[in-house]
Amino acid sequence: MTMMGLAMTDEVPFRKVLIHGLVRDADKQKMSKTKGNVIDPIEMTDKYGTDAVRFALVASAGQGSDVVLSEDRIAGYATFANKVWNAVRFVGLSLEKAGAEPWTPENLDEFEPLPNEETGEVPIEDRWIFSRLDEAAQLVNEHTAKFRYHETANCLYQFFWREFCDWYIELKKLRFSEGTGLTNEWKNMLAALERALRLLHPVAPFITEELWQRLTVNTPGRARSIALTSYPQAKAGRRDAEAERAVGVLQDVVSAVRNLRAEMNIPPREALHGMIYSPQADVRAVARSQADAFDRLAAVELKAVEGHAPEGGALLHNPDFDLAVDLPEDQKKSLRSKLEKQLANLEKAANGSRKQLGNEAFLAKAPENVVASIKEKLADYESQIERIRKTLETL
Amino acid sequence: MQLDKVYEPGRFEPQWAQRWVEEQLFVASNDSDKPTYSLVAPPPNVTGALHVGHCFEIAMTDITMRWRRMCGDNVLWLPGTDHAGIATQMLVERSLKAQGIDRREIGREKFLEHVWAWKEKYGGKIVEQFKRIGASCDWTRERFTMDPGLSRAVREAFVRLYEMGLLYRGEYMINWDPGTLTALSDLEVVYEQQKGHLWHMRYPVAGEPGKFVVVATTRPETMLGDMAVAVHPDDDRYKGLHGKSVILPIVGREIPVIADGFVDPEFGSGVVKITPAHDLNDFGAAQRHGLDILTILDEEAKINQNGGEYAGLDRYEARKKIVARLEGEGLIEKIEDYVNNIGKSQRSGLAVEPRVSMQWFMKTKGLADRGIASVESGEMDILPDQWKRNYFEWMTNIRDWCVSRQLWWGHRIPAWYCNKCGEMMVLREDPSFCDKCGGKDLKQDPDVLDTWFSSGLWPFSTMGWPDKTKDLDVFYPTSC
Repeated sequence: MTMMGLAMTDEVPFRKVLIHGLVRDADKQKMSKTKGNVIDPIEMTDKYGTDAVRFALVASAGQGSDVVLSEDRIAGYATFANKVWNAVRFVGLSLEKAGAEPWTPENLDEFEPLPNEETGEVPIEDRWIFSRLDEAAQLVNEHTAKFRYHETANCLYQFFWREFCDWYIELKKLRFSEGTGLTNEWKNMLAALERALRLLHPVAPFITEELWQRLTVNTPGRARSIALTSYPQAKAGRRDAEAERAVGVLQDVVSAVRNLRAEMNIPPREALHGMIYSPQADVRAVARSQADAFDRLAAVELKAVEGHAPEGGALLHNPDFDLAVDLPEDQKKSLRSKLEKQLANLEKAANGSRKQLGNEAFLAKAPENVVASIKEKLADYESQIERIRKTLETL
Repeated sequence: MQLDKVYEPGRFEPQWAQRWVEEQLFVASNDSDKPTYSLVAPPPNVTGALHVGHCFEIAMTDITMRWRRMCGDNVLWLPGTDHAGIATQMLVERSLKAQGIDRREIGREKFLEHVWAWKEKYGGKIVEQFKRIGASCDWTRERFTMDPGLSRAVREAFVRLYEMGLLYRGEYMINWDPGTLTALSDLEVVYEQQKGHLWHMRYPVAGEPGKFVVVATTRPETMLGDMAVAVHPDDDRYKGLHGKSVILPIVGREIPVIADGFVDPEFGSGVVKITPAHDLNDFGAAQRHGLDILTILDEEAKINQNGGEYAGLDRYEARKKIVARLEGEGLIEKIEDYVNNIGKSQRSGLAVEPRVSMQWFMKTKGLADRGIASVESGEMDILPDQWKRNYFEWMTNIRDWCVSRQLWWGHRIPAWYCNKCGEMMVLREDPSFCDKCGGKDLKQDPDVLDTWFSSGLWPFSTMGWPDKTKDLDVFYPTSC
């Protein structure tokens, strides 16, 4: 093409040539009919949806490198699409209970979160999500411009699942109540959702079109298709460091308490009490203002104390704060013995792996993937041991 | 706002895919103030079906196209399909054969009618699949390499290249596919390592009874067409042979010993047989030393009438018989195991035969140098960066491109030959008489062009070239 273009038009036919890799199967083998490892994309599309197939294809492809594709991977991204669907479905149901109709701002890109009508302040989680959207927009635009499709896809996946669904919707949920009508808080949420769908559209065009059409149904002058709207761009001054820090503290605390419950087999709704120590006033302020969120998301009541936790008394050390949770004495005791038993088993398993990895004869003969999986297991044992030791220390 | 309880993409994806096309959402404007972003998609085979490789490419392209469009660009993604000469012809031939129809019996015109009918019936499949997976192409600009406009572009390009002195016709060695009976380009040949043998054969020295030279070869059957044996000029072992000749076993023909620097003294015995009609290196050596060329294989790689008693045998069958006879005569010194790099036809899977035949070639050197310069100057960028090296290597080592194919499905070569005076004419319009002698008995070249000839023009032929169109003005050269 280059030679023909030069010969006939005196110009190169294209300005950029992108070389991409091959699509390989889960064992990194080339797909071929004779090997019988071919994945039929149309069959996969019918089974899991096109968006999942597209996601799976681009998410594992570094620039120019080969793609590893398996049905499992596609199924994994179908789970993601399902997550997005369910999140929006939940928002829709809650909206109905609030007695409101779908709404989105007419001037999509100018929208900034609105203050709560009663407090006169923009809720912290709304400030936070618009700040996070801004960062996601910046990253995704940069990656896509540089043809780093895998980074684009992974960034969107993380944002939608880990931030929008896991935290934003969870926090918003606490504030929904019936019959409120279309409040400013609702507007904030719907606008954030609309912006997130546009961000996701180029990678997952179908589900975003379907959801966006429903969301914008009442918005005058909306485009015929999400594909004809504008792509979210980062804007100077939209990042909100204060909100990100506040929600960061909230996330750290809730995650720590949830982990503690999981490890100690404490039922999710059994109330816990504890202290949050911080030399910083704003962290203590978050701890106080988010009491409701701590209660609803982790069933924990925390007292904010200035300074640092006493030696050995903290469950979580964070550069900004220490967290300590009280446990009943008998629970501590039974837990200690349970953990000690677990620790002993883990030590034994870890020693076994270490022995195998120290055996030259075995290493010389064993296939690479077997050795790799032993190393992986060992790393897993070691991190579990480390975690249990830490917990034991605090008990 | 109520959504279905379960995410079932099959319920809404096909509808959206259809609406995006019907509502012409992705039609580009050639009268827009917005910045332009254009891509002419590499055309898949019209008879093909979508595979994961296509899907991967479409997914990446579509992300960029949708993103650019949403960022405010005037985006053109021009789709289309390729007539895929050899692949399509084989497919239709096979289907006709199953119905008991032989293309040679029904003739060129009737056969082409069958191919067009096939294309109409099955050609839409891959296009529908493109649409189904959401490729945001401008379907109002869809093209096919054999559309009238594109066929005119092919003819114009051929005539121009001929007038520029970049196309020539000649007898050269090309890759021949004995399965599909056509010449192949280097790109259509796939190399595979294959276990074989190295036969060390004894050729008696003429006039010196009892004295032999040992010749090592991987293809003993081609000895029927040997025109010389060769040694390296500096190889002391064989200096005494210079100027002598040997008697070709079985055939009894006397052939000279030549000295040529291309012989590798380390290979086998250091003496090689020269079969100009069936080996590229030997063809070159024959030209340097003024040797005749004797073809001993026919189009299907069977021994032809020049092979005497072996005539009609398949090449591998002939190999067995010839080796057996030489062994019987005590003319096999030894047989070694040897791993060969065998070129196979991408289409038929058969081992390709180097074959001397009359073909059309395109001179590539000058254009390849310009191609290299355009990447060096940054006019064209290749990403990721490390691929630039492959490109330079490829463009540096490129050979003249054999563009003629002995097929029926494709763009027929616009060259005519006068049966009276032998004049050749390459023309934009079909001639009715000879330029030179006025004779009316003209014959068009029966061959068609390599599919890549039309694919090479694709980025601009799709936009109306050779006319100066608005689309070319706005969208060409394309962005990627």
